[in-house]
Amino acid sequence: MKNIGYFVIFFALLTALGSCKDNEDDVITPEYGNFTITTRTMQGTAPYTIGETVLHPVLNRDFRITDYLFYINYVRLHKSDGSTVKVSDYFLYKYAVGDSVLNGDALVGDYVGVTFDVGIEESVNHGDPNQYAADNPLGVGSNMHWTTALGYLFLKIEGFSDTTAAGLPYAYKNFTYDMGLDTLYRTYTITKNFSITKGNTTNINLDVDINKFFSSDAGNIDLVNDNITHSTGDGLNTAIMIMDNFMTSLSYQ
Amino acid sequence: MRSFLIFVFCFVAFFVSCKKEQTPTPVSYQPTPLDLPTPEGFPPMPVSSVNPLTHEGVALGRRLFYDPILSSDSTFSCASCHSQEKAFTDSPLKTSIGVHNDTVTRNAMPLFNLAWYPSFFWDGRSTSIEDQVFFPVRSHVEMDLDWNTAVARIRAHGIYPEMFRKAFGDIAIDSTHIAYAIAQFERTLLSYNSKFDRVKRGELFFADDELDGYLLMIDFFGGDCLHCHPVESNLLITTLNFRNNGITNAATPDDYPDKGYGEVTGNPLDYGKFKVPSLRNIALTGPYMHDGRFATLDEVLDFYSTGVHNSANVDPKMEYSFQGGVQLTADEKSKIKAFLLTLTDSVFINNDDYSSPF
Repeated sequence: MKNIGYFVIFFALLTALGSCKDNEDDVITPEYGNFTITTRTMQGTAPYTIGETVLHPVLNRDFRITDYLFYINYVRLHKSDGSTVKVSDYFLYKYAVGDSVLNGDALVGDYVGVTFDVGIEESVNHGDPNQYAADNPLGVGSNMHWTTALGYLFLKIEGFSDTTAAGLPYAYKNFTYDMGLDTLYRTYTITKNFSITKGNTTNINLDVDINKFFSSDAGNIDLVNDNITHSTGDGLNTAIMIMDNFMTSLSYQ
Repeated sequence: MRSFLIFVFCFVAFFVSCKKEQTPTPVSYQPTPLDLPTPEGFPPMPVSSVNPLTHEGVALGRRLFYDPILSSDSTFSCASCHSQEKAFTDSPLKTSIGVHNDTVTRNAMPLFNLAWYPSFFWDGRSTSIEDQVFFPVRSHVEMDLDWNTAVARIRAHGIYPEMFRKAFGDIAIDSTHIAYAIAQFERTLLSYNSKFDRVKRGELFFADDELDGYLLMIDFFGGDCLHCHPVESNLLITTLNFRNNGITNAATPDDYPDKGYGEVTGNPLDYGKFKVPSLRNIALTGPYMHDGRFATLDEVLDFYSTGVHNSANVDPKMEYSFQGGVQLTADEKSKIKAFLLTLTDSVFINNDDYSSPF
């Protein structure tokens, strides 16, 4: 009789453990793969190296870029049913360190496109950069923050252009284009079918054509006489044009 | 049973007596962690994972910092070029003078708020506080002591071995741990109590000319200083990167007599670039620039107003270099100077924790 009692208890324990296992199976563990955007800077179809002096084909003027940074923000992937999956928040693309890769985890699945914003959304743009670690993309180490009122630079392009046809060292003049302000926040969408698979990396190349910074259907930038903007006052129109040009300079593969 | 108990007793007694005969193992000292709070409004203070702050480590580093034992003839310490009352510079020297009265090529940089710094020296040759300690000791024109001799002196010293044991446990004293200790002390040097800071914290108000100067600093069409010294958004008051501010008239990159950051990177486009220094305590740290060429703040303001050279590698952020500078009026220069004087931190330069322990 005593043995039968032990058997009943043992059987009950087994049943309980078995049912627990069944419950665990009911929980769906999301599976992730890796999603990256590799940003490459080009002049036309050729890779561009920082500091390299090149001829602008439309402006017919030598120029070189010495610094060049922009924020990519709120990267989200689109599914065919209209839903979106967020991949990443703030990412500071630093041209000075060469090709730059945004890296994030994304849910496994089939996607039809990607959207990201260029800039910092208004609710964050006027916060104190000192609240972040210095090496955070939004921290003081980014050197992309102006003042509380103005907020962050969304896009910074600096360099030199030749003021003459001779290209002599002393004939170069600096340009400093700082694009910020909430009204210059932009969104870019990539339309492309791709899949994220578990444990694997899916990459999209995002190319930036520096020629298009200064020349578009909307007009050309006068690198010599309109060489500075901080997106304020008389410089606002130049900033808007360069920001819009920048969005047209992006292409993907 | 009785004989068994006697056997057990003897067995235990034997081992206890054996233990008593063993040489006692010294108990390794556990240093006391030092939690240094981040000053209000500053970014979170980076903490070293390899060299965490301890009370004992900081005390040791402080003593080493002020001790001439780390120079060739034992007459010259870190403090010889980094005096607390001058915000840890050797003001008014244009460039430092080393242990043998040799002239160093560059102006001594101030020491404060270093925990946030990603690189050190005017040319950025060092990327950690610990690493930077090695340079002046072995430099022939500074302290001129090889590290083997330095280590031998410390090991043979009457006080230091015990201080090292308390700071780092049972380690063999070496150059790395000497550097660690000095770095720990230097990490504690925090400057955040100037009038500017107190205004930021709502404890004081600027005078009118100081406020005007502050606003000129962040005005793109005024002083245009904020690109390198973002006084509103960055309490370190430096971007900590490397810029060529047009101080030298060079037609080509090779014409810069001091290549600065370019010496480290090897990139000609970096020739003539130097670290952007903090403006904190600027009134105490003259002469100014990497070579100390400007004796006063007035000379510095004159330079940024009308003396900038549109030279080969001048930084595009020197936006008005094509016209020689930002073209400040005498009144504007006076107001910016008034603001700069609010950056002097008398609490910092009088803090007993930073002074000589000797």
